Amino acid sequence: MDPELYRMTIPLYIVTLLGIWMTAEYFFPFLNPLVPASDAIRAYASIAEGAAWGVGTAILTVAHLRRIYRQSKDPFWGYSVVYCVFFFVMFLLGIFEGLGGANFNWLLKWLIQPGDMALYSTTAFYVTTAGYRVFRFRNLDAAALLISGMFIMWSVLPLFTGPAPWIVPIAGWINNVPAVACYRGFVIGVALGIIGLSLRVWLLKHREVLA
Amino acid sequence: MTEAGEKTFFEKALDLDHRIIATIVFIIISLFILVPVSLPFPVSQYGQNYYNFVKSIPEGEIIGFMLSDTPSTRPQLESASVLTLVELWQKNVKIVFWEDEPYGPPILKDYIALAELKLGRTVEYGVDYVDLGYIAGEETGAAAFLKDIRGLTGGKDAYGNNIDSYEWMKGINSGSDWEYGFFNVACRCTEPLYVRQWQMPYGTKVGSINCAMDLPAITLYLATGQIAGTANGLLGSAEIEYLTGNIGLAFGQTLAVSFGGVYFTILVVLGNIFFFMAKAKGRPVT
Repeated sequence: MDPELYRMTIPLYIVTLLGIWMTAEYFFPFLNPLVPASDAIRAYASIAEGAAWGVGTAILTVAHLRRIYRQSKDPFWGYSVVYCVFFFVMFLLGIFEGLGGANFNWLLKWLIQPGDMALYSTTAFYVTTAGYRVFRFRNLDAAALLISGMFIMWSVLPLFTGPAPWIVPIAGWINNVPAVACYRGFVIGVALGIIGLSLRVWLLKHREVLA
Repeated sequence: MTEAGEKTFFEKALDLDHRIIATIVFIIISLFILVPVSLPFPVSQYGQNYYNFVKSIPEGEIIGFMLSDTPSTRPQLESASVLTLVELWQKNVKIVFWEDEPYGPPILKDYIALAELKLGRTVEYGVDYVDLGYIAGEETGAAAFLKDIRGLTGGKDAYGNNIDSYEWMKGINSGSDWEYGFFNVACRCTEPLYVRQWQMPYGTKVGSINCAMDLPAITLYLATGQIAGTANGLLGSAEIEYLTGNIGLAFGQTLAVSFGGVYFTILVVLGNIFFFMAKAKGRPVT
C-alpha cells in the first residue's frame, strides 16, 4: 500500500469528515440524531489527547536515550542523562506506588514544584530589566505602552491605590474600553482565522496539519 | 560615546547591567517579605465582586470546580483557591472537582489539606467533595465532560469508585446540574473556554481564579456578566485573605511586590530622564 495513502490521505479525509460532522451537528438542530455520535467523538478526542501525552513522552525519552547513546556527537548529552534518570524514577514510582505514593509525592512536592516555582519567579527579574529598557518615551506608540502599562501596574499595587485611588478608575477605563475593544477585535480575527484554516483543512489544501 | 570613545554618564546609566537591576529587585522583595510593613489596603471591585459571588452561594449547594493550578502559579493563586474552598465548606457546599491539567490532581490534594487546617475539621471524600480526576482534551474534553459526565468518565471518580455510590451525585451529569461553578486555569488564558462550554450553554454562574496576566482575556466576560467574579492573581489572593480575615502569605507578597513596583517606577522614570538627556546631547540612543 502506498504510504502516502495511510499517512496523509486517509487521515486528512477523516479530519474533513469529522469537521463537517461536528459543524453540522452544532449549526443545524434538525440533525439531532447525530448528537449521540458527536458526543462519542468528543469523548474519544479527550481519550486521544490523554494517550498523546503517553506517546509524546515516549518519543521524547527515545530521543534523549538516542542522544546518550551517541554521546560523542552531542556536547549536551549530559542533560539527557538527567532527564532520563528523573523520568525513569518518576515513571517507576508512579507505576509501583501510584499517584498517592509517598515517594512519588515527595519528589513532586519538594523537587519538581519548587523548581517550577523558582523558574517562573525568575521572570520578575527579566521583566524589571526589560521594563527599564523598553518603557521609554521614544514615540507615540511607545508612550501609549508606557502610560497604559504603568497605570495597569499601579492599579494592582495597594501602595499606589491606597494614597492615589484615582488610579483605579483610569486603569479600569484602560481595561474596559480600549483593551476590551482591541481584545474583541482580536477574538473575532482569531475566530475568522480558525474558520479559514478549517476550510483549508477540509478542502485538503492544508496538508501541513498532519506534518 | 564621547569623542575619546568613552560613554557618558547617561549612556552608562541607560545600559545599566541586568545583574544590578535584578539584585536590587531581589533585595527589595526579600526585605519586605521578611520585614512586612503596614500599608493601606483598598479592595478592588474585582476582589469585592468575587467575594460577594462566593458569599452568594447558598448553604448546602452542589457546585462544580475545575481546579488546575500549577506549581509555578501556586504562589499567586493558592490563597484564593484555598480560602474559596474554606468559605464553601463552611456552608456545607458539596464540591465536584475535576482538572484539565496534569498538575491539577496533586495540587488539589494539597489545597484540600490546607483548607482542612483553616476549617479546623477534616472534609470527607464522598460527603463534602468528589474528584472526577484529570480530563484531557482541553476545550473538546471540557465540552464532552460538561455535556455527559458519566459518558466521559465511565461513571467513575478519580479513584475508580462508582460516582452513583455517592447519594448526592445521582442528579449530577452535566454542566446544567450546577447553578454555580468555579475554574482555576492558572496562567493559560483558557477562561473563555469555560465561558463557551459551561456558562453559555448551561447558564451556570461561574467565578474565575486566574493569574493577573489573564485579566485582559476575561475583562470582556466580566463586563458582560458571563464571569461573575475574578480572584485576579496575587492581589486577588491578598484581597480574599483580607476579606475573609485570613491574612497570610499572599498579603505579605502583595506588599513586597508593591515596593517592587515603586522600584520599577523609579527605574522607568530614571530611564526616561537618561534617555532624553542623552538624546539632548545628540547621542545615539535606542
